[in-house]
Amino acid sequence: MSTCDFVLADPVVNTGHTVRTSFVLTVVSALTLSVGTYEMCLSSSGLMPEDFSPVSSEAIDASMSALLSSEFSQKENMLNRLEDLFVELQHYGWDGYGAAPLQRAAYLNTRSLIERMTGSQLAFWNLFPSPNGTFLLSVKNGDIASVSIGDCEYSFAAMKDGVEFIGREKFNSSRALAIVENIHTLLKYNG
Amino acid sequence: MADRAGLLTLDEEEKIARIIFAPSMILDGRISPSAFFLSVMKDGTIEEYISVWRLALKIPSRQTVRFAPRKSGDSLYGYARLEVADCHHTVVRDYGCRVKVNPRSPNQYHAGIYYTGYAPASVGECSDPIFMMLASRLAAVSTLITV
Repeated sequence: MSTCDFVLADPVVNTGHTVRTSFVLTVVSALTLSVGTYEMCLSSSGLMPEDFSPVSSEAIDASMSALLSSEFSQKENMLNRLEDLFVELQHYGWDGYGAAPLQRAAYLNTRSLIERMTGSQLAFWNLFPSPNGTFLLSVKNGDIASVSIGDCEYSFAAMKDGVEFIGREKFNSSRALAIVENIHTLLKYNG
Repeated sequence: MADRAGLLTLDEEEKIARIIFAPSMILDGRISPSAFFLSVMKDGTIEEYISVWRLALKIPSRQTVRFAPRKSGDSLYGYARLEVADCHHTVVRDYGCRVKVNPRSPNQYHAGIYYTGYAPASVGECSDPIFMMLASRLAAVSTLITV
């Protein structure tokens, strides 16, 4: 009797992509792989419209790479800003008043949340320092929504059409990501 | 009318300025809500109020603002301009703010935004979410003026 010579793979790690991002990536990938197939089917069936102009595989490649590039650069920009703030604001009074140095634990917590967020999620947020050494994610477009990240806990507050979503809990990056996704739903950022 | 500490509340029509020294408090033209957070001083005490200027008495500029650069090339960024009424009418649950001046102070151009119902966060502590909402509203109604 022969023995099996294989190793069970680890479960797929959650990359933090939203359903929408995953859907777009899947569809774009499928289109990329199937370029020409649709055209051939139509052509052989005689159903091809005269003005049909297929999208070239190069155009789809460019579109997919632009999407991936945007995802990557949003995250890279946010992580760079976080790093810069943390390195530069290590002295008392950095705000011209009496602000405390940014705290290492708060920095690490903020980084772990940003790493879990997708580029398209991060595009809605600005990152700021707070005078008590913590970090603040605040939405860009004039809506009221912020996430404050401290050494041990984080808090969140969002409001839209009279509905408030607020809370404070022990920091956990996957839980914080779920809170951010809920804020996006409240603010109708999910499309 | 003076309060128990002898401070006078400003008229709602007055315009005030929260001076912003740190460019990191601004991003994409947006003022951080944390520009309206109270600071925790080096000795652990927390500011009693947010320091502001009364624009009718003094306009912040590179000449009028005393500023100690933190590093070479560092400069005053600007200020967030808002009306006293914006502060007095910003209420979230039982949190609010009043803009007051000390009538005995030699610097009458200097005033303070005093928060009510708010227990400030210590160093490393995340912010009170209700207060965050209040500060976010103050930031949202402010106009950024660069100098």
